[in-house]
Amino acid sequence: MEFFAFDRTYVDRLRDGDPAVEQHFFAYFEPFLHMMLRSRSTQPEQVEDITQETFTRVLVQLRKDGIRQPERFGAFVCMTCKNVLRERHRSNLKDGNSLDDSHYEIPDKAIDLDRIVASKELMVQVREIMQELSAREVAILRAIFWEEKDKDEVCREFDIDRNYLRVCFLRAKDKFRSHYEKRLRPRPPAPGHKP
Amino acid sequence: MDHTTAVRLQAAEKYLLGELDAAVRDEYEEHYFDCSECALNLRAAAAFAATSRQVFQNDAVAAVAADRAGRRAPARPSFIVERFRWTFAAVPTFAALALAVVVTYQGTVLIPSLKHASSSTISLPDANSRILPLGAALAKRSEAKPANDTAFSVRPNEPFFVKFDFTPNTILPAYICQLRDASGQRILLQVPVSGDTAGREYQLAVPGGLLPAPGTYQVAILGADQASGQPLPGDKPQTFAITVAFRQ
Repeated sequence: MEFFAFDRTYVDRLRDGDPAVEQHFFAYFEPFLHMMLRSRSTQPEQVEDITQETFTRVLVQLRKDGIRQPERFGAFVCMTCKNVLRERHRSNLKDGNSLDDSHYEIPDKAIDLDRIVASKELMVQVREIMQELSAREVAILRAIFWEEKDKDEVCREFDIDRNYLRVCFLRAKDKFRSHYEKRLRPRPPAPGHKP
Repeated sequence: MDHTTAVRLQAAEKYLLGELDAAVRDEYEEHYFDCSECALNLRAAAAFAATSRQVFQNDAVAAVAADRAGRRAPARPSFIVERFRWTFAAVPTFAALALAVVVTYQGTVLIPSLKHASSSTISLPDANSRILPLGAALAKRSEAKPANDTAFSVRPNEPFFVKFDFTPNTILPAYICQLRDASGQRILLQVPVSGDTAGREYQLAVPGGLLPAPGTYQVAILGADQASGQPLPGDKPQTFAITVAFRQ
């Protein structure tokens, strides 16, 4: 998967149905849309549905009127998804389904990550990183990600504040990121697109 | 939100930890959808969190196995200590072997929900474990109607196999078989399945203590990337439901 700034070339190729760019479009945005929808406690059976509807609307809009700011293509996809979600919400309310406002609230816990499946290779990297961390830092990460403890409780238990807890996550992630980036790199870029 | 602000806010970490208020979260989402640097950062943070979780799971299972192996070590009377000195080497060796077997198993079988099970209740199926035979369940797949007419009855901590004809819609080099909760949202068990299995009978091993309660669960089959073992993007899982009852 290639991460790059979107531009007119990308958008034009997508509009013209370039298979490589289409493939990139679906693969790039799907995890982000899923993450965004799950952060709003969207029902799992609706996540895929809303994602597909978002893709369809984006492609239809591109082919119909195009978009004015290709460099803001990502934000356009994001807003389209939020619009689809809002419409579903209204439609559910109209149909008498009891979705309340909390449907749109982020739950007070980490976003559901179960669907992001780790490879053995990444697990080896994470083990190496954990060996570099202090036992206390590893225990904090364990409490957040494995035991899924309430973060305030974790802070009390380890006598730390929320900033320290987050920095603990950030430092470990920064060590991990270079390995993760290398793993993503070997894929060929979309034709005609420079990173 | 611009890139500098996102970095300064530690927005990726806050986003994943659920610490952004709704307005800032919306701004950050609009930003990371466009910013390749923030998108990569968020994906890395999410991957780190998910991978850590699985590493901790595997460690927990390995610790249980080590504990069990330790408890099984025979206590020798002192008068034969000299005569059976080899046992002092053998016991830890067998314990390590047992641990290695379980760790290897867990290297390929990820069991997110084991954390919810008491450590003393985890056990892996073996040749003597009971089998839930479902035949062509995958071909007749249904999320709503369970593949077994009568609930499969097991003891709460009993390991078992779910046996069915592995007939995926698409022939691929690699698959993933998952056991999920009734909603399909939570993955309880995930096993890589070779592409060679397509068209043959397959047994999904369900460790004892994995299921938190009797009820309906979903078996899901997804195409996987052969190199990474990751589910193929956009691949819709084939699923069927099973029902499990707990007996005393």
